Amino acid sequence: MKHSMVKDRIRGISIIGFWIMVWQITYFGVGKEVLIPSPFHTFQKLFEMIQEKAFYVQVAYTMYRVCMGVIISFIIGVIAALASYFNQLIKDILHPLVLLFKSTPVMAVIILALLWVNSSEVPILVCFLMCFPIVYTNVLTGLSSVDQSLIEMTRVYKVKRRFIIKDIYMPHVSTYIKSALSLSVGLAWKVVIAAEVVAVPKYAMGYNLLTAKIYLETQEVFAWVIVIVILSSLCENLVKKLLEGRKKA
Amino acid sequence: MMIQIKGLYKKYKEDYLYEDFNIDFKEHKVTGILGPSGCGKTTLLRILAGLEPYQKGAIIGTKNKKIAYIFQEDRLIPWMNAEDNIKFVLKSYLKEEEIKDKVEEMLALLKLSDYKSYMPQELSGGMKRRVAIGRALAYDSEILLMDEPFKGLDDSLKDEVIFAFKEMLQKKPKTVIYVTHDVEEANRLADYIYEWDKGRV
Repeated sequence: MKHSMVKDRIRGISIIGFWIMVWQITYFGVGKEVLIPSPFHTFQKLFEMIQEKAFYVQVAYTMYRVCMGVIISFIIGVIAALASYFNQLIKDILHPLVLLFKSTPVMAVIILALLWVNSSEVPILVCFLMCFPIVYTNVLTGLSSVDQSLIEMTRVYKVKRRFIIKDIYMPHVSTYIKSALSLSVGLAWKVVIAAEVVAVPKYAMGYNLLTAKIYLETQEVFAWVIVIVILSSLCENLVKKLLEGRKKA
Repeated sequence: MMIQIKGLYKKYKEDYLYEDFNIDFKEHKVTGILGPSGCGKTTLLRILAGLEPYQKGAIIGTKNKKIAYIFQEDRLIPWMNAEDNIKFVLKSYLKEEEIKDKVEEMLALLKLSDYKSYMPQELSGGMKRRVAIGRALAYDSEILLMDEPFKGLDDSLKDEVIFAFKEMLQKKPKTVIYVTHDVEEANRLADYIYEWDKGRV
């Protein structure tokens, strides 16, 4: 077990090493730091960034927006899915709205959000609008696919509603909730950063990404991208671990 | 109180499966229903269980009664082991200690004690059937509906289960309505047998 874990870790590090090598070769090939900076300079910049207090403030604000966006979309998505499952009219009313959220380009949503709320809240609103359909659709699919023959069985045996919810609905729907959360967290990072780049709130990773681009500090752009990728995967893994832990408990 | 069906009309697609159908099921007796596939035996059990709507008629003697149903399919909860599947239908009306004793007894009776922690997907077809039977028998019902209950059990096991089933009924009589294709099995188990043919007895 331990041996295979070490093996997996070595394999993972080797793959990262391979891609850094590809990056280095591309850098040599392009030969212009402004287009593709070297991995060394990028990591050097990253090292400088993490030594500044401001870096952590920016990260904290962006993380806060990601968390708020995911939490709000999760709560409203679950409530809306439950309402739709039990009431066909609500489902029919919500259908065009969900379809609209699903198909509207993220940039259009950001521009509209800029008209409605202040720049600091734009990423949260955009994140909600983008993640809500994922949570809603997943949870509703989970609820709708509960085995109706089991529900019939509970009706005959007059099983109390709380046991039907706890023992039939929850275990079945939890798989769908897990997938919705995992997808939402991944998407939330992309959407929040995009919204920050356009809305330019005072403290934001996206804002730094934009200023680095304006001043042609490509190493800094790359360094921020690395930070975003690391934080996004850490969040996804954390959610997965939390949900798995809950399942084991 | 006996169960009575009076003037039942039940449509299936465009045709009537039951048309002005009348029948009585005697209280505390086992009534077997024999008949070819598609003649409406399962539909009748579903109507009695309150799972199937019908066009017209009256069902007397099932209201507010506790009903147990061995469905044609096992209908076990896939994420619960054999023991928990039986416990599940009891916990709405029994205390934890009573449930434990009852489930232990039922598992022993159906020779499932060694498999109580097995998940449905780990059990053979016959074992799953026995868990479904155990769930219905553990439930303290006044009416028991059974749809091909011993399907998938080998002969020796079927004999043992039928024997245990009869013993249980002697201790605590129930009104049992029982659908099967097996004439011999019906002769052994039932006090009365009705033969069905497209909604007619």
